[in-house]
Amino acid sequence: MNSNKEQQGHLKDAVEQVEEKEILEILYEIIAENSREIKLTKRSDFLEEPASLQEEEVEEKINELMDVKDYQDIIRIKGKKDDYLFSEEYIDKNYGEILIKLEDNDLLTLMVDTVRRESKIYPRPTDIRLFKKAPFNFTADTLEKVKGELQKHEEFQDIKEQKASNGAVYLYSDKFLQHKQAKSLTEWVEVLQRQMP
Amino acid sequence: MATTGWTGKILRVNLSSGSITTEDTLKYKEFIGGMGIGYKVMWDEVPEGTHPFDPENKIIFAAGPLTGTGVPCSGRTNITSLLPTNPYHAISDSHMGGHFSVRMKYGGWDGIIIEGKASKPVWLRIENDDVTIEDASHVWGKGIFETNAVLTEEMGKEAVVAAIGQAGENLVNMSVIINGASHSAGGHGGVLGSKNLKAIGVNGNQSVGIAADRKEWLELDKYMMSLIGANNQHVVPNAPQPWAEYHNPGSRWTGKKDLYWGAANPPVETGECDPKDMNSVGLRTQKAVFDHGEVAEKHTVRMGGCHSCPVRCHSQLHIPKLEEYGYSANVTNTCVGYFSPGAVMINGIYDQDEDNTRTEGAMITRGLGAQLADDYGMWCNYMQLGRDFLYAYENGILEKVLPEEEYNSIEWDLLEAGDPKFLVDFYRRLAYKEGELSHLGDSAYWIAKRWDFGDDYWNDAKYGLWSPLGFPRHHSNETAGQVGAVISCMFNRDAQCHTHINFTGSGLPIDLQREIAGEIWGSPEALDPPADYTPMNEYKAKFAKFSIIRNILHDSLTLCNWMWPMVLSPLKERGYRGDTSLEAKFFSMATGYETSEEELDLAGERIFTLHRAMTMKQMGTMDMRNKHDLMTDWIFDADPEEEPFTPGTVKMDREDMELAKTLLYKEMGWDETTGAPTRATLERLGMGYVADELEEKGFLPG
Repeated sequence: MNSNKEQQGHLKDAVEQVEEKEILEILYEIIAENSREIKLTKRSDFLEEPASLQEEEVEEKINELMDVKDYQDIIRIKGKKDDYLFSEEYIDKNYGEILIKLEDNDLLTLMVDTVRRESKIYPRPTDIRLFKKAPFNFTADTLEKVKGELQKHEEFQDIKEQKASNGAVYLYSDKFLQHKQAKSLTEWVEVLQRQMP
Repeated sequence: MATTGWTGKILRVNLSSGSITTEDTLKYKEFIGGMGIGYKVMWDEVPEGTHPFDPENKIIFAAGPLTGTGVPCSGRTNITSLLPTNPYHAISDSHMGGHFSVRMKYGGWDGIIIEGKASKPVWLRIENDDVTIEDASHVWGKGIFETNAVLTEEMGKEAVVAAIGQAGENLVNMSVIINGASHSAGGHGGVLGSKNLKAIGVNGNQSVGIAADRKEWLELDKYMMSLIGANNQHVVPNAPQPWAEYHNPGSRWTGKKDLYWGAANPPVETGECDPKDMNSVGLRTQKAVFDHGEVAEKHTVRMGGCHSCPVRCHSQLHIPKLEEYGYSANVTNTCVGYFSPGAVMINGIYDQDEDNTRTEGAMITRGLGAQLADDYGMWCNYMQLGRDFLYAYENGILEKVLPEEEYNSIEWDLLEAGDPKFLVDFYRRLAYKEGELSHLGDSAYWIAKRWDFGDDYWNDAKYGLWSPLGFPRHHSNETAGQVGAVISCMFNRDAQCHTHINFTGSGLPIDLQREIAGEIWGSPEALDPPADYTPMNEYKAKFAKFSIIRNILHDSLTLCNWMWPMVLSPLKERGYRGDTSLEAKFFSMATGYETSEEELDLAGERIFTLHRAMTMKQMGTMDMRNKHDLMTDWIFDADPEEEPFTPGTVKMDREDMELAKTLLYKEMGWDETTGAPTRATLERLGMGYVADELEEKGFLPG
């Protein structure tokens, strides 16, 4: 038979385990609820209610959360301003990365990464009007400003502009698309495809 | 004998004698249905040298064993006959969506064979086994919309009517047969006109039997629905979506948050259309916005489409300004049905902006033109009509060939101002064969001959001619290089094949597409990156063969080749893989004939090879390589400063395209020199009788 002391010890462990589980559930729910609404959860959100974690325990709890087998849909990405978490159940990783750069107001990187990704994987030049649509939602002024910034950075010199015969502007990365291919694909996407639907 | 899948009966109507008889469908079982039945009837019964408008020509409306079973996207009707636009009047099929073939099967019929010629205008009334040839004098001379309305009123609202307009009555080569308001089959309207057959109305209250257990059938249906994408089986959305790993601006999956059917009452939001939500499949394709741009959103009443199709690709629009031209504010159509009239406006549209195609004026023009073309029953030869008109116009040919009085009677100022009112006069002249201008309706080959078009007409990419036989490019070399190119050489009109474009246009990244291509066609080399082509190889030939054979099967089963096959899916957890065995599974379950994917593909090969043999007879040659499988020069001479197989050009290499033909012939078991089917292949396909006849005529390769 266990002594009272031992019994109390087990009870305390059990309570701690329940509490531990509860706090991880709370964190998960926060992330899932935000993700359902297509919103990111910031690391700093856990300092507020309902999680109300202390700064020194946030990292540990997030790490524990990420280890839970049932919570493998959670993705954590470090942004410029904060760490961000979301559930892949509701937000694809690629979309989440777009949201993070928008949250960080890192529009230049967002444009460059988007253009490079499209030039690399599809491959295709990127219609600049894409950035005026959701989730980017650049204003015309912002779009021009960000596009203008491209030329000022040495590391973004792979991003080139290509115009279709109707004047529509596309961007591509010459790391992944040769100029002639980009020119041909721009004309195809913007003009010829509509003549051969 | 009771059958499932098929109804078991084909109707034969001789309009000359008035004879109405019934035949057993199962004698055509090896040819599946639809196109297959059509080709077999034509092979057996219509001798070479027959003119499309001769009473000896026949026209076959046929469904397949999956039509009317409820398989998703199975509302197609196949129509087979000789083709007036083809220089050799070779065999061809036209096909339409809508509800005609399904209602025909509910009436107990797998197909209708029309032969002979009525002595006066008639229409065919089919209500179950009650089939009568009716006087059509009250609808002769009327447009398709009124004809359909009048005859449907006579038969009852459940009936479906397929009719011709004035163009078909007047034997315009480029004319259509339409059921509903927009489901159009291009090319054979004049054949019905030549038989004095204005329309066929079908109705019935029977069901289409299914051999399989219902629960198993529903399970397969549910599985199929989990793999379906948007229109053209595009499996990624048009713009970034929270759920989507990929997006592609060319995708017809336009549904997204804050996008509406704006003229619905109340407006309907498409929403995000998560691929796992089966109930939002019909909202994925907001086709009005895809076709016309954002300007069309507020005019969209809803999306319509065919029987058993969850995708809904026809946009039903309410555009009040159409009434200013004396036409209905309500119009429905899709894709080329809208684009083609826009292309007739060769000087552009009045409110043209740099975008050229996304203005309100463009939408109004297309809406008006679609109504005119569909009501008169005019075909466009896949938008070639506008390009033929352009060539004649910009080369001063019209001034030469049109009598002065006729030339001066045309309101050129409207054309020059981009006023869509021009189309009202233009389509009327063509449909009624008024004057010399109306010969534009003869189609490309015939008008080029009549008006003595120059070599530049054929050899400049601007005019879009794919073949010296007078049909245009249609998902040709710009679609997977040699794959699209060689497919485009195989038929007697534009190939109408979408298997390959659905795959390359799916929106997935190229590496993933190539990986999947490798699984299906043997190597990732079956597919090149866009505008970065490599020389021909055997895997591209397998890709081309698969594309053709599945297209043929779809037109025989009947399924929609704008959606099928399900090579891909929108499901990330499946690695975006679809399931190419679905057709065979549905076929087996519907008919009770257990058939593997390979066995069903063999049936497709049989049907396609029969088409080849019949074309040889009609052309009087077995040298298909040099007489039929041809391409115009621009395909090889475009981008003169570039060499083929350099990034950025889609031009083809002459020698390489000959190799492409050779490799496809090899895949098909055809003679590699001539492209004619060999006896061994014909016998392998169970068509020794075709080999015998070809041999007798000297068309069987030694």
